[in-house]
Amino acid sequence: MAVDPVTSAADALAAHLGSSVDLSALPASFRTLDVRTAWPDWSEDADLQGVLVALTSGDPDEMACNPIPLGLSGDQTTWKVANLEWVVQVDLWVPYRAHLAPAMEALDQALDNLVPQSSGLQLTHDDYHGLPVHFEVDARRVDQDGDAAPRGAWRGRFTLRAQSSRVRLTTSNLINQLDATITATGGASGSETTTLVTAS
Amino acid sequence: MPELHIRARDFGKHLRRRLRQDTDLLRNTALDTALRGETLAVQSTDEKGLVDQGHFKLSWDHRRTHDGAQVGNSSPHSSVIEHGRRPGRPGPPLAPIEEWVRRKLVPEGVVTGRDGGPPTDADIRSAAFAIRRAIHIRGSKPHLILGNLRVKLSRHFRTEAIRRLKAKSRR
Repeated sequence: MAVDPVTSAADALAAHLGSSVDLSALPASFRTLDVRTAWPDWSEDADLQGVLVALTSGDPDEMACNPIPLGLSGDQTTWKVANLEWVVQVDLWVPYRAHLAPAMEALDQALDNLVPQSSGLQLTHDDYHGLPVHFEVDARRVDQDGDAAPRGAWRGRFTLRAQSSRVRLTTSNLINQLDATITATGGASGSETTTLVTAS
Repeated sequence: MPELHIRARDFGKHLRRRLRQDTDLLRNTALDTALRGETLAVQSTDEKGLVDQGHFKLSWDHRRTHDGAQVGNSSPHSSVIEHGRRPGRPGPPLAPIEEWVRRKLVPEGVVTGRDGGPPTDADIRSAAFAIRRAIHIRGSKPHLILGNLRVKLSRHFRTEAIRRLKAKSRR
């Protein structure tokens, strides 16, 4: 079931961070990682036992392009119709100041899976036509908040730039197969058969 | 096609002048982009319903910097509006909430005295405490006003800079 590309990208990013962030630099009892695809809701338990990560996606900036066929499945053609670009804020909270730097470093490492060919994070939309989505870290920041220590919540923040595509599905005909069979027999009086097949 | 003849010994001087002109052109483009950013930020503030007395909305500003231009908001709570406040964090100071209750909720009859009449100072303070506690428990989500503009403004700057450089080259 295809959802919108922004939600799908947040799901893919959360799944990737959940499996890739290496917290081995933290003390053993604080290595739990809780990744949420939305801002922590007040009714949910957001007590910090380990590392809490929340993703907030901005509104996508959409640049329409001439439709480009990406693939054919059954009688449906997938067309890329726009380039999408949006901002994702990745917040990270830890209960102690000493945990902030190693946790941010671990998150930073997980946000790059393209080195050495390139840089950034390339993932695949599970819920949006299997398209790629690319993330690039734009900014990193540690919040110098006066009440971080008494509240036991130290916060770091990454700003990512996400890029993907919007697609449309159509059932219009598209030539996907062209078979030609030519049979020639005899000399000047021979016969010829030509078969051209267009499918879907 | 206009032609420009440069003697070899003048080439360095010509190149330096050309680079200085292009840098000025790009700085002006950056300033125009920042002005556009300020306009869009004010518009977005309205659209997201973040206007009470207009302090946050009026605090959007843009200015030239040594290497380009910047757009930002100078109000003290702009960071919380842009990046959010986690649930369970202390709420904002009480005094501005009390002022807001007096200005907004008392005239609308939302906060009244115990007998339904005009509220006392204690009633207003009590209502402000309740609101502050709600903010404390619920936190506030990031609005990403500048974050959302970042993509749009980068593209605008790129497109406009290329257009102006091309126009200048044709002159």
